[in-house]
Amino acid sequence: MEKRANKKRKKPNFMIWLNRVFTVVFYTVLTLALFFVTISKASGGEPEIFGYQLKTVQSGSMEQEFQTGSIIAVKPGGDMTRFEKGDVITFVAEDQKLITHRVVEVVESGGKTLYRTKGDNNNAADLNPVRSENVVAVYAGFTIPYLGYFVDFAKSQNGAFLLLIPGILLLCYAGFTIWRALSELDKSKKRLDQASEAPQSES
Amino acid sequence: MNKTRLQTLKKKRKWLLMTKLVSIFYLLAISFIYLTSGSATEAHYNFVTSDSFEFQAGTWWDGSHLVFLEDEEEENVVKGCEAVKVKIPVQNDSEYGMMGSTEYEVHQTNHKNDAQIVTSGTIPALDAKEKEVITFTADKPGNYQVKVYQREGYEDNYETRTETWSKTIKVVCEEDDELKPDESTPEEKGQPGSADENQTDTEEKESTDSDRSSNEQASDDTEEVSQEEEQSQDTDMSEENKATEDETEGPSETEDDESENVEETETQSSEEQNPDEDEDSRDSTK
Repeated sequence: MEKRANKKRKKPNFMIWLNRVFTVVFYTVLTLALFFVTISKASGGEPEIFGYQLKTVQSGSMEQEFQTGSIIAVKPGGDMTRFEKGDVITFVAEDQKLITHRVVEVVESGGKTLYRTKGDNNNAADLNPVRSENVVAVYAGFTIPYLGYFVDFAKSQNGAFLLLIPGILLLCYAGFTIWRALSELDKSKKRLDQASEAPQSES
Repeated sequence: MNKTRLQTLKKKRKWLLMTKLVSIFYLLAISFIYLTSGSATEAHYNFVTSDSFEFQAGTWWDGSHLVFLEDEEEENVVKGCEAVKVKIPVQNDSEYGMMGSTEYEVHQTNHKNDAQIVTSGTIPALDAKEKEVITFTADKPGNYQVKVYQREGYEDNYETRTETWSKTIKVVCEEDDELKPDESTPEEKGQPGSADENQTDTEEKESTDSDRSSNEQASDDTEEVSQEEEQSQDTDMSEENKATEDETEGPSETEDDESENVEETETQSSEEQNPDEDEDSRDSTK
């Protein structure tokens, strides 16, 4: 009997532990999220996490270093003339787009530093050299593949709608369990009533 | 009862677990969306492809077509004895703007069809249907024509530059205008003046008033060169002419014909006396 009881107890124990783990994870994520949101809101500018910015990768010009649809961490700020050949830099192009390419040549001209850049997957260097003033960050070597796809999808209208589905399902499930609990309560009440009514009729 | 309680407890746990899972998912999703959002967030990657191909570099026709804005029927006559400013409008009569400037030349053509460039200049690049006025100063009476070079490769002619000529612009003295009917009857041109003048007028029907004035100058010059006696003779003759003309001057010109004929013979005789003078005067009219 005791063995059976132990077996029965083990299952709830696992569930309890899982529940606890989830609770810890949930509160950690919540705290971190609140912390970073508060810090980046207070400091202004783009959201940062430990001094790094996260960027989603839109195309495959730097493939093998990082994939299309991944998220990369770049470190903004600092002396923008410090980069050397081989560094991967993020810079603002003419059309205000951010581009991350590798420095293939550093050109010093008239006291200014210019970088000739090239995508690893491109067969030619970029047409225009990049001025050091237009460099915004340097690639930190950290990338999460495929997360960019998810983030981009979540930002879209359809994505936002789909994101709501787990929440709606959860609510439905909650509603369903409440309804079942209530109906069970009703049933037990009816049984009690019937049980109490039966002896009265007999008498 | 115990069973049902256990079941509800289990369900509660499940529900809690699900809620936590979904909450974590939402939190992470929102966090990532927030962290990757911003003013210029997404790193955009361009892809450059380079290719090599050949094309013939050079000039090609820009599709422009220059025309002179002038009346086809009407004759271009500008009156003025002194320097006159002549304006010739030009238009780029095409749907395409010019890709560069082009040149024009102003030519003066005399009776011997010898063209002489008076001035030249450039027409700036004109947009489609844009107009430009070529202005030049005509300091001598005569026939003028403006030549405009079309743009390189005009109508696919890359060998030579296509030229377009304007209509002839006649610059005449206003006095000459009054004398125009006389051109048909050269005999009547016996106006007060030297005998040589008469001769040249009869030879060249199209001579203008300017020619006459130059003739007079020429005759004056030759008079200086020629001997004084001849000069006196000459002047005497002209005075006689004047006198006869004064006598014959009347309301109708036909009545003068006879007397003028007489004058002509007289003047011709005087010319024979100094042939050099005559040649000089002819030269000056050329």
